[in-house]
Amino acid sequence: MREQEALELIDAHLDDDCLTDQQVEELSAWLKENPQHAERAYHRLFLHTFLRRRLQAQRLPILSTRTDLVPQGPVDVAPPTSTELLIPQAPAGLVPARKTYRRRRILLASGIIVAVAVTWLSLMLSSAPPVAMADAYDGFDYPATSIPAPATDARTWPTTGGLNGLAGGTGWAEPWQESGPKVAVIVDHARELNWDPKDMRKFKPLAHSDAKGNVLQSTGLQMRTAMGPRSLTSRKLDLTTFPTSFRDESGLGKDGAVVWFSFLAQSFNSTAEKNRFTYFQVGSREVSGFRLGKVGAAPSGNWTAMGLLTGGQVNLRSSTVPSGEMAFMVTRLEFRPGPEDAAVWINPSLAAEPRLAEATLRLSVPDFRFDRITINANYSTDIDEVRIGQSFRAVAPIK
Amino acid sequence: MSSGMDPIPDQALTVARSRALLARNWGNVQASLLAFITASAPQFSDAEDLLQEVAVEVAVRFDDYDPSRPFLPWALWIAKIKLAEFYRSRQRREVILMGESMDALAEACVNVQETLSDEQFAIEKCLDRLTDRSREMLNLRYSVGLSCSQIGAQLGMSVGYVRVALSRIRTTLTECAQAVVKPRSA
Repeated sequence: MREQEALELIDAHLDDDCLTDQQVEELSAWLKENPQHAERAYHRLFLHTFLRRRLQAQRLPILSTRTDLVPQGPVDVAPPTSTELLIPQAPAGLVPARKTYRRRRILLASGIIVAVAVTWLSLMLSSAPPVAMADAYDGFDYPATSIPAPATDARTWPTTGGLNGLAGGTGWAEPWQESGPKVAVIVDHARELNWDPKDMRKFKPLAHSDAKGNVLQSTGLQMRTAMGPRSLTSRKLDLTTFPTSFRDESGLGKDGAVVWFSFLAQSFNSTAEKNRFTYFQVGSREVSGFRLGKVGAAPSGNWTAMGLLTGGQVNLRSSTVPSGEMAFMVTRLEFRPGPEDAAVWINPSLAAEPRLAEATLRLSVPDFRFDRITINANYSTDIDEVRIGQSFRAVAPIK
Repeated sequence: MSSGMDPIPDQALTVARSRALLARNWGNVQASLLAFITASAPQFSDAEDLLQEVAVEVAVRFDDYDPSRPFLPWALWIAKIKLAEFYRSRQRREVILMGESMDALAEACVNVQETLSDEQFAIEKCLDRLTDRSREMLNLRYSVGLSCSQIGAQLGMSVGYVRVALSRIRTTLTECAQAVVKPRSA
């Protein structure tokens, strides 16, 4: 067996392709033939695991326009040769000095033109009025639900009613729907007396203010997901409140759109062990989507974000903020051709839009669209001030 | 004059040194171990779970480790035990590389261990030289975690094309990394 064939079999094995018995035998024989073969194979394995860890931490930047990513014509005929995979680099000293000088002048001129264009564009954009209102909002301004005491007993938790049919807020196509064995409820923090001693939410109702004293706008009471299995609460968005450039026939998230959403949350305590989860989801688990909350896959119980793809969780990113602590979470979803770019800030300053470099969590999410939000919980967590909009200010308004 | 601090008992000092030695050794070998484990557990999630199990076992058995001997072969021995347990618990899944093949890979892992940090540096440099199309395919495979068929569906390519293209990108990266490492080590 040639070395290239052996390495291609290793690639196929690691790309989840099933090898035949004969291929496995030939590969094993090649590996054992001499130590150099085993070392070549090991280097290939190392390359796979290095790429996995490296690209999980940070995607490779796409440098130019994406036109070269779209296959032209029948691509199966000739996969790229190794010289087509690298950007050609002229060896130093081979480019005549005169040409280099001319190229520098052209680059300088191009730079000036680009700088002028960027300045003009930024002036145009800064003069445009920012979209400062959420397209969809619910502050849970509903009457409190009556819960049998003690409020932390999963056995007596309501199985009907709850948020089902509540239709307050703005920007929604339908009322809230409950489709789990239990329901989420509305709680009035000020009137609640039977706190469990370990419940971390008893300190104060959900709210957020930053270090400069800016306070997040807040109305009404707050929702509480079910104790124990489980509540599945969802609400369909009125997509017509969003510009047509934000949506296509599959829902919200047309390529080029940047959608923001935010909410306040605090869980009974910080652990996510024993499958104690509560998460906010857009898109679907079965096809693709995005999830943010406390999840079993991050047993520490810290607030965590992840992509969803064909039933699996991908690109899980966990913060250092425990879910038992009150958190204001702001998410920016940039919908692009191919995977989407998600950034999450936890307890950001409210003064101005935070920088992407300061995001608490940053991850790539499989291509998806959505037309509803879902709050799925197997553990009691309070949530409030759900906003979806076109800008940071729209989902983080200050008093 | 008293420093105001209680003296640290000898036993506590020994435990602290032992922990420091474990942390340093583990940090040096975990990338090598992950590559070794991946040969028999190609699903990244399985390999990472197994690496965690190896880490726990290494910590539990660390008192048995003889610090005068190299750490990596000892950790590889534990990794092989964990791999065997992994396959026993998944009886229906076919084992691709085991036995003498894994012994050969374990030996290779020890032989090339010293060169891996240079290799990482070189691969990183070579990633900068890839074309956008190659970068996008690697992003989809390793960052997003798509299979070859899913990448094909997304980019409008057949699964066969994606497999060959990814394999060639890896070969190109390997050749590029070798070219970068040689002058550095010369």
